Amino acid sequence: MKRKLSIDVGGTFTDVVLINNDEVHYTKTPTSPNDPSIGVLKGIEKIVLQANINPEDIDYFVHGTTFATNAFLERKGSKVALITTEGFIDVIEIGRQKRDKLYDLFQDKPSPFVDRRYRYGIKERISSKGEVITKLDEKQLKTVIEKIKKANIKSIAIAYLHSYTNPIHEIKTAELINEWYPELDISMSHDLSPEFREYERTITTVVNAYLKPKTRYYLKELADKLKKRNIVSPYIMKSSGGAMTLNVASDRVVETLLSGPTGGVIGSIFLASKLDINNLITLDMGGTSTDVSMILNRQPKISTESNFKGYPLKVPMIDMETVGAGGGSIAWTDGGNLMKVGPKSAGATPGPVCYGKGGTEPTITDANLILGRLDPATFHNGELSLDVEATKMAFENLSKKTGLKIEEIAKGIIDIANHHMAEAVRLVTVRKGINPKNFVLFSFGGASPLHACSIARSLNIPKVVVPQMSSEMSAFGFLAADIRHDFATTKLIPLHLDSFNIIKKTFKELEEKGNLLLDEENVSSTEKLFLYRVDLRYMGQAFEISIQTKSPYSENIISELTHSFYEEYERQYGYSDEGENIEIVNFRLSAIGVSSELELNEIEVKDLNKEKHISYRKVYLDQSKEYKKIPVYIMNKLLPEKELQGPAILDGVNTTIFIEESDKAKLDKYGNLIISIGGTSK
Amino acid sequence: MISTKNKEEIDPITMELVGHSLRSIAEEMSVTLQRTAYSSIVREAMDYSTALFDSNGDLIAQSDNIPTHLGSMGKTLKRILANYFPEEDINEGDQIIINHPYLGASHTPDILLFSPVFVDNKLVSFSGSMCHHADVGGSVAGSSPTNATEIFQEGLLLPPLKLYEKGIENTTIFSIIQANVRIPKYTIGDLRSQISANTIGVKRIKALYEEYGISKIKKILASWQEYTEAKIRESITKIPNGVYSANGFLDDDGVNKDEKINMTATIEIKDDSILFDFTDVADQTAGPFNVTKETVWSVAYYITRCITDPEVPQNEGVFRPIDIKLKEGTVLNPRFPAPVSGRYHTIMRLSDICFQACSKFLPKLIPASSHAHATTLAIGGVNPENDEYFVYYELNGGGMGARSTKDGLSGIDVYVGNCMNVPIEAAELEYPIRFKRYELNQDSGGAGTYRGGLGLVRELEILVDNLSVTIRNDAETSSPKGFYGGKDGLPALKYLNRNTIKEESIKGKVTSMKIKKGDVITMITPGSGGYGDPLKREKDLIESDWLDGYISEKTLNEIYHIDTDSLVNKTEKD
Repeated sequence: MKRKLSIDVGGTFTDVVLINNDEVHYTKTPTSPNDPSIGVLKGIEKIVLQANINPEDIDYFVHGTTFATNAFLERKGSKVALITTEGFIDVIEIGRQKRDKLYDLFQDKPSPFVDRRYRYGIKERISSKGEVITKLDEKQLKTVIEKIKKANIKSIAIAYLHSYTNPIHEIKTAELINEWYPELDISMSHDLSPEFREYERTITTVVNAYLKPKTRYYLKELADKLKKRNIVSPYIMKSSGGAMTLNVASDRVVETLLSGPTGGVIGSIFLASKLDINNLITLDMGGTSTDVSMILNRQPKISTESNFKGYPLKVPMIDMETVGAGGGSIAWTDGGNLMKVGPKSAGATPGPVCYGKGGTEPTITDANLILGRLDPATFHNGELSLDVEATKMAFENLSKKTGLKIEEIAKGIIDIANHHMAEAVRLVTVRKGINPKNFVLFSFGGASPLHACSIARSLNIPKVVVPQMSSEMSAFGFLAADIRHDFATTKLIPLHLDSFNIIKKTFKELEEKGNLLLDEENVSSTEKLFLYRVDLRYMGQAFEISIQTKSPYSENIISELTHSFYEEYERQYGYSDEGENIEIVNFRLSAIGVSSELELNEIEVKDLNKEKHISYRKVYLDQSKEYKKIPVYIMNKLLPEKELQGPAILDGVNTTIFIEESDKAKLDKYGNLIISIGGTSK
Repeated sequence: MISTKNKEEIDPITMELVGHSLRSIAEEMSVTLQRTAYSSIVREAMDYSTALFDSNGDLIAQSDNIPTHLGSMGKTLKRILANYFPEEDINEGDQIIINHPYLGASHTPDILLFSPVFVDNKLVSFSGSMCHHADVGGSVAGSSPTNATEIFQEGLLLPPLKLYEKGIENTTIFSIIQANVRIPKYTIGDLRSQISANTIGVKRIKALYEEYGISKIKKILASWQEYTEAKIRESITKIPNGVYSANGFLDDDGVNKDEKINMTATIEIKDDSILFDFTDVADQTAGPFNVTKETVWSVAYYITRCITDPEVPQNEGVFRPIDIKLKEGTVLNPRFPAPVSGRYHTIMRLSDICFQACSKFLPKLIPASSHAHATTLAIGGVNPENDEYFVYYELNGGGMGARSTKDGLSGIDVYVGNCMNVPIEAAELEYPIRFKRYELNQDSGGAGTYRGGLGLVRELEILVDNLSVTIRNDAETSSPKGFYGGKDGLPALKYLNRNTIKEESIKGKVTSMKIKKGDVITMITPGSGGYGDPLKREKDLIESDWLDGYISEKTLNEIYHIDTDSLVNKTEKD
């Protein structure tokens, strides 16, 4: 594969990266929110022109889409019906019975996405051991399907009790529906999330059904348009950081909810391998929020326990903490007593006060401007001029309320925002018993590199990397992603030699499924990779720890897993009881089609004298607590491997980096900025 | 700026930083406890809380789990410090355990554990956890016999003891607990989870003190508490002064089956403070529905938080504007050794009564009555499949009352409770039971301009012989009240083998009822009251309710006076 294209459709911009043999091209076009495929095609036109190739010469194309994410957030999905076991139609409305807020008398429950009148209980029952207790009532099912047809419903979720252990009734139901009402879009719970706990599995299936018709339509439109132009069909990024074919994505829409942000994680892992870094934390700061992910040994943590906007969706997602602090997050005071930042954001419109588009409330971006860290003249390559006077006025208001000086407020806003982001880092590290000082912080997304050094210092993280393509990191990352399918099945058995045959058999079955899918995608056997994990817990507990094993086909697996479990348990919870019995809960297999290695080019040094700083700017420094004139450099004009002492500002493409007094920075041979953080304790 | 004595020294930014950290420590403790726990009541239902205190026992942060535990934890700690272990007797590495309701705890299954935090050899703080254990011994599985007449039937009593002394485990106490409970694996396992959670709390609090220094943290904590107190007082000031009362009752005390337990709550708003007078209540009961005074406080705190500022941080400052009045020998301040294991139902009812009083001065804020109780079910016996003794425990919510602007919520835990359900598949994987139904109960939410939330129907079949079941519920003889013309919700009901020739209606509390293979238990939990005149409800909402089956055709015709034929989408119903 020689020409690889990737496109990330974000809220404001559609980012495009093209690797043409050994050249890397990147560009942006505005996102077309109503039909994102317009922006995608415009992006392709723009980049092929830039690279001077024909669109049909693209060999490989990966696409990250927020189409389903937006439909979910804006509640613009389709009308859905639910078929479940008779007697249990309200599981989806009851949820877990707990209220989110203890004292709020006006709170709501998360919407179940399917009106009660369209929830149908069918006579059938499978036991927890997988035996059929009551046969599926096909006659009743037929009547129900006729009703669904009459109600003009186009998408259906099927979720029977214990289908994770025996899916026979879900499969039969789907077969009959295909016969009676073939236009109906079907989502089956055992297929999307074959794990116990009925509410979580059902809501996952319903969300898929809710998003499926429209997302499938978008993907089909896109595929048709691409086909017309002879452009290769794209792979779609999924929340687990792997790619799947457009056809698979059209069925498993719920797996695309984190499609975009995973790119940054995968891209960072790829860069880390080039830079010989094992453990990293990604800090992806956008306009409204910041995503943080912890990566140990270059393996992203993929979990099925994520809570997505109040819904426990049981599909593999890269473990990510999101905090409501982004460049546009608004600062406010609670009656003058406490300073707060976010989660309200000025978004793209009106945007921060300094954008001059009508914003009046100070944001993080505005605070950076007040502190001199953003340059009104060069922001976004000078394409966007910043209104300093309006910004100062907005801060005057806060100043009157709090009695603090303007720069104290700006400094405070940055401190609080940094604290929120540092808390997110703590959640993915400290809270899991992991010390962040053994990690490197990868900082990307337009706003992140202004904050990264300070956040790193507060967590004793010694090193920060700002990738060369820091503002197109997600799209870049897609190109490093593998094709990936995740399978799971629940089987409660003791972790004991007696169980070895079951373990072997279970993984064999999962592997066959994986092989089949990879074959369909023309993955050759040398590119195939299988990862085996089991979820373990002490017998009697309810929460599992997921442990990976190299091969499940040797008897050593029992002692290997036992040992790893004790170790991991002790690390997370502070003790482990080696006398207690362990049980296996879930078997997980990832079937991977390994993507061919990306090549990174070393930057050429054409002019040895080019590195001089271009100007000085007055910037507020955190460590000396005053404004000082500090040098401003252009990032891609720096000489590689030459160290630069802070304080300094570096202007990158679509991003600004702030290095503080105790920090040192240098460009590596690939054009990434490597910053050593000083002033950390120990 | 903060209007406190510490104004000059503590800026709003540092305040926010430290407050946030304290809160996240309490949350981290909570996650640790849940994930390492063994019993379904902890790991699935999350019936526990974690909190941080200063060296005096004043609350500084708490996880958002169960309001019942609010306030009572700090009161318990203060009593321990005052009467059992004064500061000089507490060492680094100690862990103090207690479950004795008359020495400061709540009911016997709730075990509290406190762990001191030392910085520079000085006691600065405590981490604490309070956790409902599946069984602590006594006369029935689950340790909550609804017919108990003295506390000794409710299981092992632990006065304040050092479970750990200077980091060394007291194996004698562990052995005593082990020998007295039905399933040591659960009780000891969950106790270890508490130790784990507390230890993580100690570590993190210590780091925080070391980062900011003892004296600075002290000032910050004082400021936080003053801030919280000021916010609460400010909210109370907005409520008109006055004295407001309401009353209600529990069906019975489980022993004297035809005697209602009456309670009147009187709330006095005076400028910036609030007084809960709970003296006009029934004498202490023969059965286990008494509440020790530490636990009564949690109702006052909960109500105050709901009617003031629900967003302020949870710390001792919340408590200062509040006072309560109790009378010894009553159901809300009983004398030893009156049984207390059913105290949850009493404080749920008391919450409901308080809300009714509050609605007289905050008519738009307070929802109509909610289910005001919880149906708890404990099934115990030997599972023939593995020959092991088991206890299955679950707690079911019901309807939350309609609000002045919207419908109530269905199938939810309310008031001072906030427990999760046990997933059907999780229960069936482990215990010899099979569920037949888990749905909302049609028409159980009272009609109104805004409809009350619906109660639950939970029905399960027993798969083996020789088990016994204990069901603690209430509100079978009273209905959740509708407000301002809204109709009442439906009360609770229970059946054995419903819709068969063996059908039996089970009235009142059930202790250790023998059940056998094939028996089916049906629990119907109360709905909740409606708000406002039903005839003012928007017609399309009524139509939706009918199409969705939240209301029956009978309700549609008779209460909302709507003729089915007049509905636009009526064909959707078939």
